[in-house]
Formats: sequence, structure tokens, C-alpha cells
Amino acid sequence: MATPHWLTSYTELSSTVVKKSTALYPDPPSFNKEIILNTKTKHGKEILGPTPEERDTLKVKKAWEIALSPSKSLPMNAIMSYFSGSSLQIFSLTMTFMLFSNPVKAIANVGPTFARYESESTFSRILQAKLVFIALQLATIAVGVWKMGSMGVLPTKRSDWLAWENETPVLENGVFVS
Amino acid sequence: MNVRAISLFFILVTASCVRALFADEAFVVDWHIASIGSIDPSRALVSPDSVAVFSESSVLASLDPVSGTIRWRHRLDESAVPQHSHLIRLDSSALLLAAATPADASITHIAAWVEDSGYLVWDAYLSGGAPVGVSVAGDVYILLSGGKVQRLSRRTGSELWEYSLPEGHSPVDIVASKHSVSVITRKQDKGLGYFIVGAESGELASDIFVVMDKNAAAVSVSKTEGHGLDIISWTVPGEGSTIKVANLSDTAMSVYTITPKSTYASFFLTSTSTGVAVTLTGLDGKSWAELYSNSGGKLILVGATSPTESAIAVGAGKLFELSKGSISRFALGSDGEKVESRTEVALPSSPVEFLTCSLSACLVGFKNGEYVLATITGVTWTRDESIADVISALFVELEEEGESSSLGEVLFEENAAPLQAYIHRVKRHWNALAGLPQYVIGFFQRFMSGDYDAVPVDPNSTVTDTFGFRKFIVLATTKGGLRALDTAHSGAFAWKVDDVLESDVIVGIVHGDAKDKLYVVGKFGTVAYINALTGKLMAISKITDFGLGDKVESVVTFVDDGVLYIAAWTAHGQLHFLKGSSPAKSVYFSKVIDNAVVGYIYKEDRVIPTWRFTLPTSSYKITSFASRDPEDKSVSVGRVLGDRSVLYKYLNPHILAVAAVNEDTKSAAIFLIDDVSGRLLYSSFHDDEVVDTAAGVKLVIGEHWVVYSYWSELATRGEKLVVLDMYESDIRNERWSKGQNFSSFTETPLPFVQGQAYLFPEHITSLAVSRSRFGITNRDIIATLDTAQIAVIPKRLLDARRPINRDPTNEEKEEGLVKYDALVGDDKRFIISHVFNVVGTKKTICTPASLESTVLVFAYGLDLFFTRITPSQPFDLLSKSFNKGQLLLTIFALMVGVRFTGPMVRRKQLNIRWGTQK
Repeated sequence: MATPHWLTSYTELSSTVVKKSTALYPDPPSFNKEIILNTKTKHGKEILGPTPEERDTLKVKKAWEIALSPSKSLPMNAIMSYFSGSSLQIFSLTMTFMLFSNPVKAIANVGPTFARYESESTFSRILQAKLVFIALQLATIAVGVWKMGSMGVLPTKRSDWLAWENETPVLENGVFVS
Repeated sequence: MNVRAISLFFILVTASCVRALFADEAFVVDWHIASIGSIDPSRALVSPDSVAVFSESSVLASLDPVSGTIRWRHRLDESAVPQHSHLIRLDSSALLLAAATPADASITHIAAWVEDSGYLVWDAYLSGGAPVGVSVAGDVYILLSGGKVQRLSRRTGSELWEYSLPEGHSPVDIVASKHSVSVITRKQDKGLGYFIVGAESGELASDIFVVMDKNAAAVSVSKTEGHGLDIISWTVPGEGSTIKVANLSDTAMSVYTITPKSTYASFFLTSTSTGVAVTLTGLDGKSWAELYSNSGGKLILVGATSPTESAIAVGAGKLFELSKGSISRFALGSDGEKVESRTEVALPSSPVEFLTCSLSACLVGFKNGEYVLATITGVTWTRDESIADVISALFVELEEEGESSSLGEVLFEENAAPLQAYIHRVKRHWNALAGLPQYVIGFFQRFMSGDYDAVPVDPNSTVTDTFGFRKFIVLATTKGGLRALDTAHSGAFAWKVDDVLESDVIVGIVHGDAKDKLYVVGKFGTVAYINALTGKLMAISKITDFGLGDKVESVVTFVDDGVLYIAAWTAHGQLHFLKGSSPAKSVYFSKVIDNAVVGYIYKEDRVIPTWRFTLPTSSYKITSFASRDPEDKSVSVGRVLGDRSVLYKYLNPHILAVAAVNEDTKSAAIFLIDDVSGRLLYSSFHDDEVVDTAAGVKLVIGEHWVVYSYWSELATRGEKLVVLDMYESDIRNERWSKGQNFSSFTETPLPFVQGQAYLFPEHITSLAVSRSRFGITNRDIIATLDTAQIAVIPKRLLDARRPINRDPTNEEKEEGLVKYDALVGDDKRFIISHVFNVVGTKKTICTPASLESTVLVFAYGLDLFFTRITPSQPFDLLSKSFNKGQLLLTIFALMVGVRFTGPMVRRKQLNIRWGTQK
């Protein structure tokens, strides 16, 4: 044997290894090896391993759970934003910052977040979940934007652009002789 | 972007605005120069231990005989007429001043003052005209121009008796002795003569009018007040240079005749123990004295001085001659002149105007406005009173450290080819390294002291300080001189020049293109070019093709296409260009002439009148006008309201505010007109009030607002301060001028004007507005008060949007508005002149320092006052109480801490990795 024993015993799950391991260690008491071996050969698929379709459905379900998770915190964020007032304080500023930083981080990490559930067959369905996830994160950002608006830091009013307005050029040169 | 945050910040900054300066800044950032004004020798009393003066500016003052400082002074009612007033000594410790008042000199105000303290002993108002003569002999005898003689008690000033001259007599003078009073008059048909009135009775001692001469012309009465005989002298037309002399105490009334050796322009006689002394001034301006002795009923010439360029005076029985830098004193004796003492004195080079002497002290007045007190030991003190009469004043920027080298080079680098510019810059920086050690030393000095004023600026240098607080103020005086004051050294003279325009009268001074060049323009077309930093005359010239009999009325400056033009505007409506000529575009001028505003267009080298704005009725008189300062910058074109919408400011640079009063109805009116087109933009009439029309209306224009004040009796008696804020439209966010060019000739919408009026607790004599470098800082209105104080009123308080009779809403609070309160300025913290008595200020000028927060303020008139104000607090300057030492210590401690704990932490982490430490 070229490969060391510990490597094969940790990496391979074939029956030979099982056999070998069983050969190495005695079975625990009242362990009926026959039943397991028989079940595996006869009914293994029905009891132990789900079918790939089932597995996919499960993955998609899980993905949707993750996708919808921001919606749970959304009302809380909105309520907190509303009640923390429009004054500029360290608390409301941090909160507003979180309303932007967390969704942006989440959107940036959308690939890794859903990677565990992704496969070729579930791609399109996972994509929907991803889009919903992104949309909900954007909704959180929208709460942040609304919060910023209520704090008056959004350039939405005429006065915000006043600094870019220039004085009207004057055509005539008038001199008052005092 | 965060308007609310910014407005909140400004509310925080300005709400608790402590206007007044801090105690440690008083006398450091500000200075005050008290003046008395020009001195006339006939109203100056010089004695060895005091000098008392009633000046041409109506200031009664006593000067310290040793230092020349003002011991005390009183500015009498400004309407007093010094030319018709008399200042004499009541006794050894009191002065007597009889002043004519008001402008038509119909009333005499007579008052006795304690000479040492300036306390009033008594005073009285006498109707019956101006004082013609005052004489003291125990009690006070006064002759009024209306023909009344009054005896007033020396102790109380109460009237003891009154005597009226008979019809047909015009009063000349009065000479009192213990028992009788001689009233000298002219009678129409009989000529010069006198009455004798009994001192006790107040009635004619005899009914005779003693005629002295029928044809007497120039009469002068010499009252010696106990030093000799009271004599009267006069000339007779047609008898050459003969002077007739009579002794008033001589009952026989013998008239003597003397004939001076040459013709004269003026003369003055004094009695001596043996005869008379005459001081004469010749037609060529030279003075001499002649001495006559009474011998056998005739006055015989016994001695004479040779005519000199300078002055000659007789006082306390001595003859004084000022000539060639020395003052000589002669005894007046029968054997002619005899030098008693001769004192060498270093005097100003200006020509002598007068010399008036007592026994051991001489007061010398010079044409340039300087006064010198000289005694036997030399010059005791010198006062420059020319600065009490200023025609025009301006700030001169000083050089910045090393500026002269860098500015041109930076410009070169901006315009040169990149490589060339780079090489140039490297070279420049290399050269600048030479100054590095000095810079580092200076930096640490400043840093350690924490006080930028700690590094003193050399008074002889022309370099400004770190923050541009040091500037020169150049004053053009009515005496024809220029004075430059150093703002950083308590207003000490940086330089002074006399007779800048030779014989011409200064009309105005303006800056040239280079900031150190001044144009001084005279009434008769003389123009001098002066270096503003040194006072050196660079050139002097006459305006060519100056019209015969024409006079320069004002100097105008304007910028056209980035080029500065300077021109003289004359009474004939001519425009003479002193700098630049024939601007490419037409220039529109406007001027207040004969109670109307007249518009002109200047094109093709001609000034053509175009429009004329006249007042509604002829009983309106224009009292004041104001236009926008061309250098006044607006940092924003709109005003942000609480809901973050914008009201756009009406920023027409051609706006001219004209204030008029109506003498008949005692009302005032304000007109805002466009000074290019003459279009009336707004008018406001104060008809239901009794306005003090003599005081007139004081006006000032800021960026988009006008503030004016006037005194009125109704509805509440007091000074009314009115603000008019002009906006482009009353609709928010509406700006019709956007994307257009503004022309005064298009029918643009009229401004939306909002106004509000306030009561101010004191009389305001003039208004000015502060101007910061970039216009970001709030504006303050600077008001000079007749209480000899200077106040600042924040423009923020004068805001037409202040809510009336209700508390401001949250939005209004964010806008910085406070509830309307009719009384404004009832706060002593508004007074920036603190303990100074700034008397008679007429005008205030402002200039920004290098710091945006700070504005330099200079008020002039009689007194000069300089200070600096920070309308939005000194936000760009660390306070002096800032603890730099603590900051340094903290940083140092942190550095030490990091130095020690760094290795410790590293070791610990390493140990954890090796598992030797948990």
C-alpha cells in the first residue's frame, strides 16, 4: 500500500474501507452489521440519501430563507430610524451608517452567501432568491436614505445647490459719484 | 449640503454672541487718539502753567503744560460758532467762555470753568446775539451783537443789570474797569466812539457819546487785563499807513498818531510802560515790531526790529520773536530792544501761522496743523491737530513677508511652459531655503508663546503681521498734508507729508493699480502720486486741459474689463482721466446735484446728462445717499429659509439709496433707485412722524439690504433704525435673473422689499457696514453715537423676517430668527469703544484683515479710533487661552507611551504563539 492507512481511512468511504476499519476495530455491542449492510443494498435510497431533486428543493428552500431574512429586520430598522429623530447625534449617525454599510457588505458578499446552495440545476431558482435578497438589502438602504433625508443631509432642496449658483453678470458699468 | 447642520452651527456660534471684546484685548487691539482741533491764537490762553484753548472744532480744552496731553476737554454743542466766541480768564483758576450758538449765532452761551478740573462753575444763555466783547473787572461785562450790555455776577453768572445801546449804534467792543465800563460803538453818522456806563448802576455815566474818529476803519482794541493800559487803535482810509491810538482810560481822550516805517497788511498794538508796541505783518508776509515812547504828548519811535520771515508777538510786557529756529525775548523798554533770552528750538519745517506768548512760554502754530509749546528750555511738547480735520481716509495694505519676490514668480510659473516653470520653481524653493532657519526660529517663538502678537513687528518696517492686522491708514487733512498711521503701533505716525499739492486743496485720495501707489487729487487739478508705504512724492502734475474756473468735485474709480480707471469729476461736469483713458464700453455715472440725482453717460470721450431723478415736492431735501461698495462680495445669491427653500437676494450693483427730509411736514423719505437707468425701485415715506430734519437720515447699503436711521418724536420718541431687505421675488425658489445677463435697461421685476423698524436708545450720527475678505462672515452695522461711543449692531438682529408678536417656529429658529423686539441695541456689550470717549466721529471705514473672521474698523472725525471686530466670532483664530503646552505634553506622553508599550505587546503576542504564556 502506497498511501498511508490514516489517509485512506479519513478520505475514502468505500465499503472496503469500512470493512477494513471494521476489521481493525470491533463493533460496538448490539451493533448488527448485517442489517446495515442489507439495508444499504436493498433500501438505501429510500431511507438515507434524498434524491438530487429533493436535495435541490431543500437547497432552494434554504436559499429563500436567507434571501428573506433581511425583511425581518427591515421593520425594526424603519421603526428605529423613525424614533431616533432627525437630530445629528452619534447614535442616529451610527445607525444610519449601519443602514448603509451592512446592506452594501451583504450585496458584495451575495455570491459566497448563496454558494452552498448553488448548483447547475438550481441556478435559475437561486438567482431569483439572490435578486430578492438584493432587493431587500436595497430596501434597507432605502430606509437609510429616508433617514438621511429626514436628517436633512440629502441635496434635494433648492438651497442645497445654491452654492453652485453664480451671481448674474451685469452688463452696464455704473459709477456713483459721491 | 447639510443646511440644517450649518444653520444649527451658526445659531450655536452666534446666539450667545458676546459682542464686546474681552478685557485682555482692550487697549491691545484698539487705540484712540483724542484731538482738540485747530487753534486760533485769539482763543488760546497761554500761561506758564497751563494752556487753555477753545478750538475751531468747538472744543474747550486744557492742555498739560509739560506733556501737551489733554487734561480735560468739553465739546460744546456742535452748532457753536467758534469764530464769534471769546475765551478769557475769569481769574487765576477759572476760564470764561462766551460762545455764540447756534449756527446763526443768535444766542450766547457764557460759562465759567474751573481750569484744573474742567468742572462747570456756572453758565447762562443770553439772548440778544453773539458776544462782541467780554471784559472782566471783578464781575463779567458782556456786549452782545444785538446792542445789549450785561453785567453778570462773577460767582453765579446771574444778571446784575442790563443796558441797551441807543438806536443807530453798532457794538464794537467793551472794556471794563473797576468803576466804569467803556462801550465802544460805531454810530452811523458820527463814526467810532464810546459811552461810559457806570459799573454799579448800569446807566450812562454821562449822556455823551465820545466820538473818536468819523472815518475809522480797521479797529483793534487791546485789553491788557491789568498788564498795562487798555488802548484802542484804528486806521483811517486815505491817510496812508498811519495808525491812530487812543487810551481808553484817558478822560481827555487824546488821540496819538504813529506812522510805521513801511506798509503793512495787519497790525496789533499793545501798551507798554512808556508807550506802545506795534507788531506788524507786511504785505510780503514778513513781521516786525516797532516801539514807541510817549514823550511830550507824542509817540516817538524808539526802536524797531528788522522784518523776519517768521512771527512776532507781544505778551506779558515782553516782545517775542521767532526767527531762524530760535525764539528771542526782548524787554519792552524806553531804550528800545534788548535781548533778554534766546532759546534755540527745533521746530517743524512748516511755515509759522501764529505765535502767542506769555512770560515764559510761547505757543507756536504751524500751517500744517502742528502746535508747539516752547519755553526757555526748548520745545516742551508738540501736538499734531491736523488729524482732527480729515477730508478722506483709506487703508493701505502692507507688504507680506517676502511677498515682493514671490508674487511675480508665482505668476510666471502659472503662465510659463511646464518644464521651464518646474525648473523655476525648484530654483525658487532652493533660494527660499536660505530663510528657513529664521522661519523655524520664528515659528517656535510663536508656537511657544501661543500669541501671534508676541513677535513684534518692527515699527520702521513696511511689512504686515501674520494675520494682516497691521496696515497703514492714510489721512488727507484740510491743512493739505497726509498722515499715515500705523494700526499696529497705537496709531503712531508711519510717515507724514505736508503741502502735498503745494497750494492746492486736497479733494480725495485713491489707490492706484499697485496698492502702494496713491493718487492725491486737488481741487484745482493738481495730482500727486505718493508712495503709500514711505510717503515719498513720486510725481506731481496738473490735469491738462483743465477748464478755467473749474473745480474737481470728486475722484471716481471704476473697473472696466479688468482695468482700473481713475478720473476726476469736475464742477463743470467734465471727466479727466488720471489713469487709463476712454474705456471701451459706455460708463454710466450718477451724481447728486441740486437736490436731485442726475444720470450721465460717458461715451466717445464726452459726459452727457441723461436722466434726472427729482423728489416729489420741492420741500424735500436730500440729506444723504449711499451706494453699494463695489468691493462688497456676496458669498451666496440667495437666502436659505428654514424649510431649505431659497429667497433670492436682489443683488443689483447699481442700487442707490437716497434719503430726503421734508422741512415743512417734518417727515422723511427713502428712495431706492437704479443709478444707471434712474428707475425708481422702491420708496418709503415716514409721514406720520416728527423727524429731526437737521440731524437728517443716516444710510448704509449692504449686499441686498439698506439700513437707515433717523430721530423722530412720534410715535415713540427716539432713534428709529429701519432695515429694508430686498429679494428678487416673494416666491420661494424663484429667480428670474438666472441664466440671463442683468441689464438696468430691461424691465426687470421690481425687488420684493421687506422692512422692519426698531428703536435704538441713542442718537446715531453715522452708519457703516463691516466688510470681510470673502463675505462669508456675518455683517455688522457700525454706528457712531452722539454719546461719543461706537456701537456694532449685528445685521442678524436687523432682519425683516423676524416674527412679530409670536415665538419663532422651528423652521424660523433654524433660519436664525429671533422674536421681534422693538428695542434693539440696548446692550452695553454692543459698544466697541468701551471706555474711550470717541468725540465727533463723522465717518467709519472698514477693511478686512487676512483672516476672514476679522474686520478692521477705523472711525474718524475729531477723534480717531481703531479696533478690530469679529462679527461671527474669531472662528479661524485659536483663542489666547488655548493651552498649547497641555496639548504638547499630551502628545509627548502618548509618544512615550507608544514607545514603551509597543515592544511589550509584541513580546506578549510572541509568547502566546510559542505557548509559553497563556
